[in-house]
Amino acid sequence: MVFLLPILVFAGLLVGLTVALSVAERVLINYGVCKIDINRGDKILEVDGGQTLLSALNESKVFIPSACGGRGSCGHCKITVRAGGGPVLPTETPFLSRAQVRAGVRLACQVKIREDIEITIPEDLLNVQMFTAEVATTRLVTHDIVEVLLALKEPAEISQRPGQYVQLQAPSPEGPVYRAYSISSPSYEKDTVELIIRLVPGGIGSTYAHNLEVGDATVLTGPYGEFRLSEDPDVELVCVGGGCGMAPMKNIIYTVYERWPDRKCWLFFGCRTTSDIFYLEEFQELARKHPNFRVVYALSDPLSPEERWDGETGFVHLSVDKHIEPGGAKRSAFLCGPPPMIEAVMKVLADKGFTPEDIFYDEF
Amino acid sequence: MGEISPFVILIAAIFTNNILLANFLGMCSFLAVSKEIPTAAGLGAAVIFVMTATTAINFGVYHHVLVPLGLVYLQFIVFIAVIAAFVQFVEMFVERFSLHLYHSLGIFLPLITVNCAILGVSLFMIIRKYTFAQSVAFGFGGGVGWTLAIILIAGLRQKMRYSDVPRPFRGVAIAMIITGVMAMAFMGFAGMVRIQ
Amino acid sequence: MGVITVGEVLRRASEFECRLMNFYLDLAEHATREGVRLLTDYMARHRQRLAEALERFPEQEYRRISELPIRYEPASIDDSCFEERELPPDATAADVLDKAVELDECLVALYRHVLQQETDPAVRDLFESLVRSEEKDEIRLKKIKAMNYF
Repeated sequence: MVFLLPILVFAGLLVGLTVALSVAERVLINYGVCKIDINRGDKILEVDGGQTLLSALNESKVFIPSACGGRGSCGHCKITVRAGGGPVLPTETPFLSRAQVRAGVRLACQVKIREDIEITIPEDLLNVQMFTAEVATTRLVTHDIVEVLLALKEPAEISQRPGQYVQLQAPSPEGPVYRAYSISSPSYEKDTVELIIRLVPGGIGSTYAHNLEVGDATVLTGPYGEFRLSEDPDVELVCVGGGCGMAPMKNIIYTVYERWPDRKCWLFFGCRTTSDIFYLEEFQELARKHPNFRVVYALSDPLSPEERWDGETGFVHLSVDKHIEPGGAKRSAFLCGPPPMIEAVMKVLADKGFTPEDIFYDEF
Repeated sequence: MGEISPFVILIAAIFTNNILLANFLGMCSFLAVSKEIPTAAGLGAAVIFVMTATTAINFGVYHHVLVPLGLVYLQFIVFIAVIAAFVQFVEMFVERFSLHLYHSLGIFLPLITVNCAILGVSLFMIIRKYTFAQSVAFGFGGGVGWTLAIILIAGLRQKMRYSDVPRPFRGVAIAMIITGVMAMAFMGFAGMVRIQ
Repeated sequence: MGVITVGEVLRRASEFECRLMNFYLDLAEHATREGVRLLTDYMARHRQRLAEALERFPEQEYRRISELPIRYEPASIDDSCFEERELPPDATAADVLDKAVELDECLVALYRHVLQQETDPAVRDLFESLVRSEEKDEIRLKKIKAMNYF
């Protein structure tokens, strides 16, 4: 009895306090159902208040790109909040410029829903879905670049445009993270997504991708990206890739030749050595079927004496300079590679009569 | 101790028996949050509120639950539980009804739970056998005194930013020295009123 | 250890950017590999843009904060950043990129040194944005390395 009383009293007190707090929480922190108005009435969601905007949107199948999984460390989940988001938090300011703060840009993972909220997101994001997929094949195309073919399971089909990308979920010690990869399979192959990934030592996403085996289950979201291919068959296409920037080109080229077999198209690809070359035979095969398709590979490192190479040498912008005719024909260029390469190629293309509006490149 | 008027206790708790400068309680958040005056004032306001309210609650719990059941020795753990629960409640309340204050107080609100000055005031009220009115006055005065001290040192530390403090004394070390000097200065109030 | 103004810190950062630019220009001139030449040439122009942006700061809206005092350790950025990091003329692009990341770190260390102090919120904003842009730059350099083009 002498021990029981204090234990009972203390436990009773704690239970009392806990109950009081729970009741208070019920009454006070109950925001009820809040409305999220996306793009001025395009889509109106009803979600439970109290959670973050990112998780509420994800639950309602609106997928905002995010690499860190909602911890506020990547700054990718930027959206514009027009009304009802509360003040900008200290956790967001490192990722927002003054102009963005004025425009109402917020990190969706840091905005807590406490009232009805109005947001603006790029329209394409409304089409983004989360897919589960199974690894169908993996193939090393060079010593450090792997091609992974994912067979979609749920949903079973993806509707993507060439130049768009998906985010592949990869495990990390701090929970799942997402890494963006361009889709390399043509857009008419709706039940698969093919990715081309170079192994970066220490990289979370690329290490995961390189260790995937046939049959492994994966999760991805997409498609993301604003690029739109010119629908006019008279517009000549110039694709220039460097290093491992091949995936969007492959998608563009195969999609184009499925729809317009006679469309004029160039592919320039720059890499360092013969061991970095991939897809050359496939593209040469395609070029035999479609005479208006021209493939140029350029090697930038000096050849070793025993190697044979009958393609171009030097950096890829020199090959572009050599092959592309100056003139005012309707042309459009798509570039993928490191910024110095893009800069060099853009300079060459400007000399050939391309205007900046004719040139698209991957945001690096 | 029934004879001292609550008003005298209030004044004493602010000046002569300042919980921070006379008893050196609540030093942790005092040193951590005394870099700028506005945040120091925000934390001070929260401390005043929590200190006053928890003294009143703890007075009731002590005299109406612990004393009748003969469980006075449970006072430490019970007071801590009450303070923690109350801070949680305040946090929820502020988040719901004044989002602006919630964001400006930020992390300081939950930090109050571990401010030992709050527990200290509740324990003093028991040791000194205060009545309810005296306890509340003492709690409120203790909070005001703590706030006064933290705002004063925040002002001093803001000024000190550009003075050339010798390397070994920089940061918390010089803040401790200043606190000591301030405590001595507050001893000048000693003759004003006197409680224990 | 002394006290200088925020404007002076920015001026020293801009000076450091100019030294970086000259460092890359020097590499570009002596590089035996074409790829290294292209890369360093690009990086030199990038640093020049940053140096010019830093020089413009104390004018416009930053006039007020550029007069504010700041503690400064003379050792924050100095020759030690460049010492022992001489690159041979036949360095590969990967070597150059690794080194560039290290040099970026020197600037980040300077900015962080300011951020460690208790300063005006506007100064904090400015230096936080500078740290952010340097860190973005580091990521860019690492991505360029990962693309394996040069």
